[in-house]
Amino acid sequence: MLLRHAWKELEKKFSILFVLNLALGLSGLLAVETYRASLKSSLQENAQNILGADLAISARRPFTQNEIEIISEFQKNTLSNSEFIETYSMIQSNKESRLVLLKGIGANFPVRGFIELHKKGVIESGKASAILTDNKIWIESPLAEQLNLDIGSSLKIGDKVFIVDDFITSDPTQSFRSLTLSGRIFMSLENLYHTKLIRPESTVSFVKVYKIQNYLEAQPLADQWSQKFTDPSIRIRAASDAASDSGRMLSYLADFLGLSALVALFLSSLGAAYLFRTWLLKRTKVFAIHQVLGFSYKQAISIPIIQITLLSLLAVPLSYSLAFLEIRLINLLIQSINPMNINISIAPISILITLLISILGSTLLSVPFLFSLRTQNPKELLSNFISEPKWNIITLLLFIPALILFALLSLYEAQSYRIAGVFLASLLFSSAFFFGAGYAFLSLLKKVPTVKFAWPIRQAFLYLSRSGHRSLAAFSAIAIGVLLLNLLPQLRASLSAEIENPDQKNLPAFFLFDIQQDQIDEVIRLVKEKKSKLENISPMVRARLLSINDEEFERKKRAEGFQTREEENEARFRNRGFNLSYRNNLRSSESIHSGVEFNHSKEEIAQISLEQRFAKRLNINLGDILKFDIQGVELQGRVVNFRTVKWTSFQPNFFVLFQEGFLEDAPQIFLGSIMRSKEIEEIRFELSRLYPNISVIDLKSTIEKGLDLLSKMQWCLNLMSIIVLFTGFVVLLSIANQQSELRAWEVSLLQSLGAHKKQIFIQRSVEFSLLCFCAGLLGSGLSIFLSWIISWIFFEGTFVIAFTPLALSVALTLILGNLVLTLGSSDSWRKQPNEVLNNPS
Amino acid sequence: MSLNVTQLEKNYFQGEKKISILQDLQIKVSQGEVIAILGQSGSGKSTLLALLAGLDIADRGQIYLNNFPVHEQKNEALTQWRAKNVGIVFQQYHLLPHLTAIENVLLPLEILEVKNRNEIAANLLKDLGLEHRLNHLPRQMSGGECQRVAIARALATSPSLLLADEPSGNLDSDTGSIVMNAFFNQVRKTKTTTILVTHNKELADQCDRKYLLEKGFLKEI
Amino acid sequence: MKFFLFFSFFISCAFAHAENTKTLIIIGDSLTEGYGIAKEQAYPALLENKLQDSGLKWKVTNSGVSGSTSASALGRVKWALKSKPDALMIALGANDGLRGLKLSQLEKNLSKAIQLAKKEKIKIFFVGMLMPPNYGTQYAKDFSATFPKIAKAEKVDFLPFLLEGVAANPKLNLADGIHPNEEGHKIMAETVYQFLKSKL
Repeated sequence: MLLRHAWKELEKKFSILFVLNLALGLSGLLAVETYRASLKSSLQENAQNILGADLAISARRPFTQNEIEIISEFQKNTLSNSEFIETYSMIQSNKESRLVLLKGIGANFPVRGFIELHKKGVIESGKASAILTDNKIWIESPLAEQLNLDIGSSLKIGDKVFIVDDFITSDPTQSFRSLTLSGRIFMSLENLYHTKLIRPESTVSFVKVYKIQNYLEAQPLADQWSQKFTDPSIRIRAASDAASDSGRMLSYLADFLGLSALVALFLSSLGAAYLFRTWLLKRTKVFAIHQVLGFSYKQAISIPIIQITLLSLLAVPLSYSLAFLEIRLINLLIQSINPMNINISIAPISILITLLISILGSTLLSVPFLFSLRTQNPKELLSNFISEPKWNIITLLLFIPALILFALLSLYEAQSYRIAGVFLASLLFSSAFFFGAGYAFLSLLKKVPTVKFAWPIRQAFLYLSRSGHRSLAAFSAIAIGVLLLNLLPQLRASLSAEIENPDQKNLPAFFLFDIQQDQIDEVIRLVKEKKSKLENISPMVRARLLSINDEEFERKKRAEGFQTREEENEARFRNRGFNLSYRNNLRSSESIHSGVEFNHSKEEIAQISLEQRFAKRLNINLGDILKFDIQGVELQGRVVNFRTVKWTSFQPNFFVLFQEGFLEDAPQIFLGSIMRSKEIEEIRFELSRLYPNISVIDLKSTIEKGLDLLSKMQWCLNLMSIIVLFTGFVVLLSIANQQSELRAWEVSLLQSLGAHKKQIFIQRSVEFSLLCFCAGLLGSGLSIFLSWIISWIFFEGTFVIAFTPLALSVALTLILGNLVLTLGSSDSWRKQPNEVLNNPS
Repeated sequence: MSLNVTQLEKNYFQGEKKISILQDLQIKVSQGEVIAILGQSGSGKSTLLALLAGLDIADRGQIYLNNFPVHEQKNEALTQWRAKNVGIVFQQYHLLPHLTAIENVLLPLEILEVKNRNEIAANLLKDLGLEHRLNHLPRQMSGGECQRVAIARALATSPSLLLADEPSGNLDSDTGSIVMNAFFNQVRKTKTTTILVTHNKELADQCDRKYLLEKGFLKEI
Repeated sequence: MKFFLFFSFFISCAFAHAENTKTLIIIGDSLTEGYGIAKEQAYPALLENKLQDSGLKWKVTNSGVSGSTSASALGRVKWALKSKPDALMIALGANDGLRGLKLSQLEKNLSKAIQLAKKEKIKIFFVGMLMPPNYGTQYAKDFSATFPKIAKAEKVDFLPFLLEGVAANPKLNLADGIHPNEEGHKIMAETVYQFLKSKL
């Protein structure tokens, strides 16, 4: 009975609009959800392919029986596994001898990514070991060239003779930033043993690699595994190693994607909440009538709940279709620029979430509202002016179930307690702030002397300042909307600054290592003769850090030994010694994070610049005194600044940088880089002839892979920001639309009083623009603050303000809002004003 | 002749089907005359008012107000004309909820940029017995008071034609008669040509002439 | 302030001389530097303790540089000689081997460094190195043969293998399997002490 009643009573036009607006908001969420999931999995795939595996357990000795048992226990949680062993060896060909990395691969190799061969093409993951049988080897192309080997050539390695089966053009197991000195030769695991090079005294790495479902879980899994091993010689490494720059960026990106889903969730919830609120406000009178008609309070409130649930239910399939259209549209737009080949489909879980938000959300949000009506006298409700329901503590408490629902949803969306927590907290704070600021703003408007204004403007001021919490609700909704839609572009700007694609022209092609002091001038001249230039020449001085502010830095092993693995690892890290460099000025890839530049005054104590993350890890503060031991000589320095180094410049980077004038006479070597040039092979040849100690490291494939990942990350950031921006505007539009729809009758009334449409439009426009401008300004202002906090908490540091989206969001809100006034409520403009004679307000 | 309406016709279409609301309607009202139009609900009273107010456009026919051809006007001009010449009292008052009584009355005067409007509005409200309610918001007033504010608003610009649509329809009979007394007093005093649409015979009896709108035809009774 | 370091080096050495203590500088790589372990637990520091415990008033300066190859030998000997040490020990070459550098170059570099030091008429000790078998039998053989060859040619005191009894023993090395741990350094200190004690 109630259901029939509820259905019959639905006001068709308003309901259609309500459903449409709700569906629009939800479709935005669906689109974001869908892209997030696709981007995440695609990026994950990409990253894992680059890293070659998700998890690796390695040791420089064979695993013990006990260890193998522990390992096989873990193996159950992984998708697939493989193993390899690698060792360096000197290989003698007919032409010359070379240092080579020999890699014996086990079944299922590689677990991630693919090996690209010159002749056989792409060997997919897991397939290599089946092909690399008998006495076949695969050899990296440049190495083959150096050793003068062809496909089919034979090569003796250790005690065994092999046949070159193919050349390797791309190897997934080349890790992202590690530099290897030598070329690689692949063979089967058994064959590597057959060479007899693997003996007890040999230096060999035994590695087991694993593929897992989600690469982000690799680090926690690695930590968990680590606890099972007591011997520090067992190393467990996650591919998404948080310590590596690429790993760090990937986890940032995952956080960013989580945040974008959260933002979309809140944007569409905000839209929905605003819609529910206005809808319920409209229902108050009907609610009173029902009570007068003899419905019990319970029955009376169940009618609007049934109605709102029905409408929300209708919105879900509609939002699905809209999302489908939006995704088609976005796909069409990005087709030509999509580097990731992402596969887009709306996940069932996303549909479930939209259902949850629309149905549970609407019901939970209406409860406190309907509860607040309980105290109202039906007679009062029947009067012509709906007095706004009064809120008290209990009604506010009734919002808690809704809040819990959103907290749970946020947790699901962010997939991280930390992000969801910080996000919710800052959102609560922002809402409170906006309510306060909105209240202040509206009170301020009351004080504006409007008497001298033209009537439409005067009326606009009067409306805003007098219509109390209606304006406040709109103000807060717009401010939060603008805040949310600005948050991602702001964070994007900061993250983007970090992974900004470097100027390709300035990228080094080769690193030169171990240039001796007496060689450096000669090397510079040689490179110059070959029409190239040795750049970023950095002296390198080996030192040990003895103390920080007189507190001993290095960790001695005491009689009882190291108590834990962590303690031992920490000791090893601290006792490793440091490479110092010195120069007075920062490079273009460096910037001062905090502190001051070196001043060139001659002080007794050297000034030191530290890399910011390094300082953080060692807990060093500005002003600290560091005491180094440089081969028997102690040297003190004061930390005057922390630097950030843009790692995407792929330049040699030093954690510790001294000012000039202190280290010049210490024993040192030099590093430098050379840009790609035609003469590079010649330079290489000459260098190895004249200065065989200098290692020339080819960075080409490392940098290419890095750049590829960078551009993909960039692309993800941009796409998500744009989609969220789009969602935000859709929500703001639906709020604006709802707002003007609610007041359509006023247009008719004013017209019947003789006002021109133009004047009415001016009034509305002033109203809306004032509201949007102030709310937008506040929202975008707070978005800077919040994104600063978020990037401080999650993205450690780099913060850049993006002014374009800020200005754009305020401007677009204004323009779009006004557009809605003309188009959205065009209905009421077009209509003959006699509506007002027929329709009650 | 203040108002002269001839051959007025208005139809609505329900799909293919034409529904005649008003047919060949004629009416002449002299300056200061108060006319009542009676009729069942749905007889087209509101449509007639809308046409007269220039809020709707007739399919055929002429409307002259003080020899001004209302039917020939387009939107812009119509709006301007209406602002100066027509006052409307609605059944649902239609007061702007965020404006006080006097601000509601001031609104049409502001639109017309009338000078000493505060005085006009205050006097009008005083005449209607609302001097103690000037700065009250609609929700702080009773229905009767609201309707009297609405009447003041309609009369504020001293319109040539006052149209009233069931002004007491929403009020109980006691309040209704207080409001209507005030209404009649005011229109008589200002000698405003008035058309009152009602289904209340007693109210109609207080008017100078009565018409009945039935099946689209208007006849004097 | 350009020579600040330079001066301080002299001052510290002069101070050492005042107490009538002699100085031994060990020029080496990460094995000498004590990569991964505290400075005081690397073999040069342990050696100093041993020497002093046995009544020999020697100060041992650790001039180990991780990653350094024989190419740095000449420059570093030059630098070390400025402080007028009483003895010099050269323990380089492991990185040459690990990086597969040419053995002829290794020989040339080390010989030149020793020749320079010999001019100063101070005690010179030379330390040899072996390569693990994975580098290939021939290379390992040629590599290890290089050191006695130099020692013979230059007529210097020679310790054949710094990592005697330490290499390839997981208990005595760090997780990387290359660098000795604290226990390993104790053995190295003992090896070097036994080698030096009669010669100082």
